[in-house]
Amino acid sequence: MANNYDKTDEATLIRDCLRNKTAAQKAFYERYSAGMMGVCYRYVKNPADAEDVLQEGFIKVFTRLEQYRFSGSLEGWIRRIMVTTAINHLKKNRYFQQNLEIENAIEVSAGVQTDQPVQNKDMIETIRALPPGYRTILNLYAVEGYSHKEIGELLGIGESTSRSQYARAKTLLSKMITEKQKVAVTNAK
Amino acid sequence: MSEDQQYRDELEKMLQEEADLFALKPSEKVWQKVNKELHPHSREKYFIRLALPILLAALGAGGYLVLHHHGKEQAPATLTGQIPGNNHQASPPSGNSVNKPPAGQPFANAQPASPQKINIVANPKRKESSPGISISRQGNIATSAGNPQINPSPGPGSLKKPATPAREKREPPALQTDSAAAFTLHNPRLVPPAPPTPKTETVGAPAGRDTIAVKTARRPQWELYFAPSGSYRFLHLAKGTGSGFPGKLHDNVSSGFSAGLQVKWHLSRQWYFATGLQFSRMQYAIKASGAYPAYINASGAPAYGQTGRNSFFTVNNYALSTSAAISHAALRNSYTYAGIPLLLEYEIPLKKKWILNFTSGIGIDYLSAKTINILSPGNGRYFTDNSKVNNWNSLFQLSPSLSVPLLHSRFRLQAGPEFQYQLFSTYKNYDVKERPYSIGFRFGIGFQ
Repeated sequence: MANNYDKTDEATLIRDCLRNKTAAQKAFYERYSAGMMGVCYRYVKNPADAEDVLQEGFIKVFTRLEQYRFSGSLEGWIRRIMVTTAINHLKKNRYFQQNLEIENAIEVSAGVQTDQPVQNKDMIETIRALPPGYRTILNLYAVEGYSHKEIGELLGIGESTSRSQYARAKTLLSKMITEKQKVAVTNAK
Repeated sequence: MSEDQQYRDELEKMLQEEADLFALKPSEKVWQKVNKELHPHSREKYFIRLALPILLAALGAGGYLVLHHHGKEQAPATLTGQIPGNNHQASPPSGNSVNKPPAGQPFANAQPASPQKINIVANPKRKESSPGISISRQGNIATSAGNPQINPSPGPGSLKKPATPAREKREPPALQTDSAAAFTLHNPRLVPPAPPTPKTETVGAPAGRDTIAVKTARRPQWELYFAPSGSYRFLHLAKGTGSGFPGKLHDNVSSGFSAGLQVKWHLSRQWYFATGLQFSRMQYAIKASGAYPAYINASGAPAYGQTGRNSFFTVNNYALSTSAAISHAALRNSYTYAGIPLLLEYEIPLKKKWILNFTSGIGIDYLSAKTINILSPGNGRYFTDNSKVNNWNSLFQLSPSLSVPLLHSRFRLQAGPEFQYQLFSTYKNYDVKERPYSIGFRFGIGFQ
């Protein structure tokens, strides 16, 4: 049923969704659900939580769709809703730990050694292996493009806290990636 | 270099690229939950969709039954009528005499008389108990063990991009949050170029106004329609008549049509209110064959001489004949309506932008009934009544239809059966029950 909207332009799809047409809503969902699931998956602990966030996020999207002013891309608008939904989910489940300490944090000045390329899924899994606070700030800053000030307002922390947490998250991530690359090289031999 | 730019390095770029390419297909239950949340009463609505048209039809039928008045005795009227030159004419009434002809030989004692002027007039002083109504004849997440099925990456050289619209790396829009006050995102590091203006409808509207999607959804829809129809009128026999009369009556399917201009407005999700201007015409014809008495009197007994106009075709629905030689006669009448329909419409979206509509309601109509003609084709004889009926009335309308898009997205073709039923008797002041109905097929062109 959703195939009828495969080639439909955005404005028509949005109009039919606003008319509460199930076929249009399903087509809308199928068009963006995979990408948004990837977004949610990066923030939460497990796939079940990611689906919960995705479900809640899409409900918000459909109920607020009339607020979309066609300024900026629709995908970006949906992504922001998913991000805030994911963060609210984390806050609600008290996954955040504002004060984290890292054992033996190592500042990595140079970039990551890229002799052995890190696969897409490995990178995502590595991000997800980070503690929730680090993971969230890393996603918000490095991936979504929020500034530290905006992250502070979103998470209810100070700007400096966001900076320090991000530095620690990046350090830890770099360390984890380096270790994975070493393992990959060892296995290749 | 800004303070944020100093933190940009190869790791961050890689993170962003990998994250943008990463996609997972969620399980089907996610959509089921979303759909259930958006349409919480879908099952109930399913039954309402089926029950509502039936309910409206039942209301129409119930209204008919409530308004139905099981006749009362009608005062006799003088039978006068112009009969064009012929050899068989009714005997002039002699007072109120009732002459019951012998069975099978109703005109055995009829004596031809010199041509006389016969006028059929109605008795306006007839007592009425109620408006007589007669019918003269509408990404993947695997569901097991919580381990996701991640879209495999074929390699850095051929990363497969998910099927999504052109992605932006940064967007500078506002973010709505649940608890915190909304704030505007702005990343000075990478200010994206302005997105291309959508090729379709552009809003260009300042903040605060409706989006184009909302405007389109709220725009009224117009329809120009024409519906040829046929009516097969079930005869309504007044009380007092019944068996015992020879001959047969045959309803002939007669023609009619309705046409008009209709506009509908969006009430809620799938409900619309429609109104406009409508013009309808119904006709009927009844063929009577066999031998008939000259007239039917007030008590329903066959007699000669005196009868009222309504006796001719409504109370007893029998044609009159003045001679046993007349083999058949035909009753014809037509009704013309002009009015304003008041309708409720329910839409059910289907595949390929088709829409199933259920429309029902009533109209405020002005009725004009044509001069009643009773024609005997056997010998060209007819009885003519010069009176006309013009009064306000109401049409009940029921029409399920299918709407399909035409070549242009703003035009639609709508087609389906249409049922129309006159709610009040044509003759309000007489003990006559005429509430014709018709069943037709409606074609309409809708535009928005």
